[in-house]
Amino acid sequence: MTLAIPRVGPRQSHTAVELLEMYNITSAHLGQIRNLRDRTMPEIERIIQDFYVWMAKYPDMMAFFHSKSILTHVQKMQVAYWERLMQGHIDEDYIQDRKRVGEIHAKIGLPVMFYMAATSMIYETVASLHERLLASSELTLEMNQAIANILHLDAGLICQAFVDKRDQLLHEQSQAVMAMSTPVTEIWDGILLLPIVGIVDSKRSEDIMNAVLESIRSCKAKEFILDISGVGVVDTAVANYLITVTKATALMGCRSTISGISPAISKTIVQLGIDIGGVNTTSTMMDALSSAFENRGIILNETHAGGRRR
Amino acid sequence: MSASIIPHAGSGFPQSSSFSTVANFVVVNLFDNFNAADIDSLEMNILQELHQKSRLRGVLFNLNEVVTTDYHDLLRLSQLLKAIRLLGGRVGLCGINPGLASVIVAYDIDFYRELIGSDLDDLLDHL
Repeated sequence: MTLAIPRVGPRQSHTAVELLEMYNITSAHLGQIRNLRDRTMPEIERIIQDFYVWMAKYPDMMAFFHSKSILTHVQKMQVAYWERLMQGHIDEDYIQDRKRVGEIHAKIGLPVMFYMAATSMIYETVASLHERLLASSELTLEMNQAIANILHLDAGLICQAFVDKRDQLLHEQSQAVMAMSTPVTEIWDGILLLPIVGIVDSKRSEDIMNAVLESIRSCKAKEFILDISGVGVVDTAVANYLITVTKATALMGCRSTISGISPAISKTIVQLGIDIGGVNTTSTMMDALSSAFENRGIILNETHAGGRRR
Repeated sequence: MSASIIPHAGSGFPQSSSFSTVANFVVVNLFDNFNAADIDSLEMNILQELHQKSRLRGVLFNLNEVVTTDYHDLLRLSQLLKAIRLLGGRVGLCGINPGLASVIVAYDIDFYRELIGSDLDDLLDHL
C-alpha cells in the first residue's frame, strides 16, 4: 500500500491578534517584557556569543554557518531579533518576519531539530539572566513564562513555514513525477502507447485515465496499448483500475490492449478470480503492436536492405 | 453521405435532441443536459419509427454535445438502448468525450456492448 502525498491546499492564515490569544501572550506579558528590555538587552550579545560556543560542539549544526561572514551576519540578525522581541510589540510584520525565517530554514535545509535545540538553549540562558535581574521569584516566573510563550509562537510560525515550504516542494515534485508517470505517446498514426512502471494506485490510475482519454481525443486514436510489464504487483485493485481505463477508452471508440502480462500476473488474475471482461491482453508489447497495426490496416514489410540486422 | 431530417413537427420529440437518418439508421444527436424525461419522450417515437419502418436498421446516438449528465439520465439512456435491441435494432454510440467516458465508467453504466465510434463517420465505418 502506498500513501499518497497530500495535496497542498490554502492554509488558513491567522492574524497577529489571533496568534497572541492562541499562545496565551497577554498585554501584561508584553508590558513586562518591555519593562525589562533595558536591563536584558546589554546581556543579549554575550548570551548569543555563548550560544555559538555551545553550537561549536555540534559540527553538523555548525556546517550551516561555514564562513565567518555568514556567522557574523546570523549573529547580527539574532541580536536584532532579540531587540525586536524585547520591544514587546508583536504585530503582522513580526509574524511575517518569523515566517520568512522558517522559509529560509527550509531553503537551506536546516533541520527543525537544530532550531528547537538552539531555542531551548537560549531560553535557558535568558531565564537564568532573569533570575539574576529580578528580585522576586514570582516576577521571574511570570517573565519567563511570557518569554517562553513568545518563543513557542516563534517556533510554531517557523516550523509551520518550514513545513509549508516542504509541502510545496513535495507537491511540485509529485506533479513532475505524475507527468513522467503517464507518458502517453502516439507511436503511429492513431496508435497510442503507455508503458507503466512502478506502482498503480487509485490516484495514479485516475491520472492515467485522464491523460489517456485526453490523448485519445487530441490524437483521434483508434488503438491504445497499455503496457504493464513494468508493474510489479497486479492485485484485484490494480486489475480493476486497468480494466476501468480500458473501458473508458472503449467508450471513446478506441480499442485497448493490455500488454506485458507475465505468466505470474496471468496466474494471479486467474487465482483472484478477476473478470477482465472483453479486454484484449497480450504477453508482449510486440504482439499488441502487431495487433494494432493489423486493426489499422497497416502492413509492415520486413526488408533486409533498409536496416541493419543482427 | 445523405441525411434526411425526419419530419417531427408536433410529433413530441424533445428539444434536447435532433434527428436524421443516415444509411437507414436513425441518428439521434443528444444535446447537453438531456434528462430522463427527454429520454421518455424519445423512447416511444424511436421505437415506433423502428417498428413501422422496416428499412431502419437501428439507432445511432451522437453524444458529442453532451458535457453534463447524471447517473439517472445515463441509466435511462441505457434502458432505451436495451429496448431498441429488443426490437432487433442495432445500437451505436459516438462522440463520447473524456469527461463523459470517466463518468460512465465511474457509474459502471453498461454501454460496453454497444457499437462505439469516436464520431459519427467512425461509427458508420463500423457498420
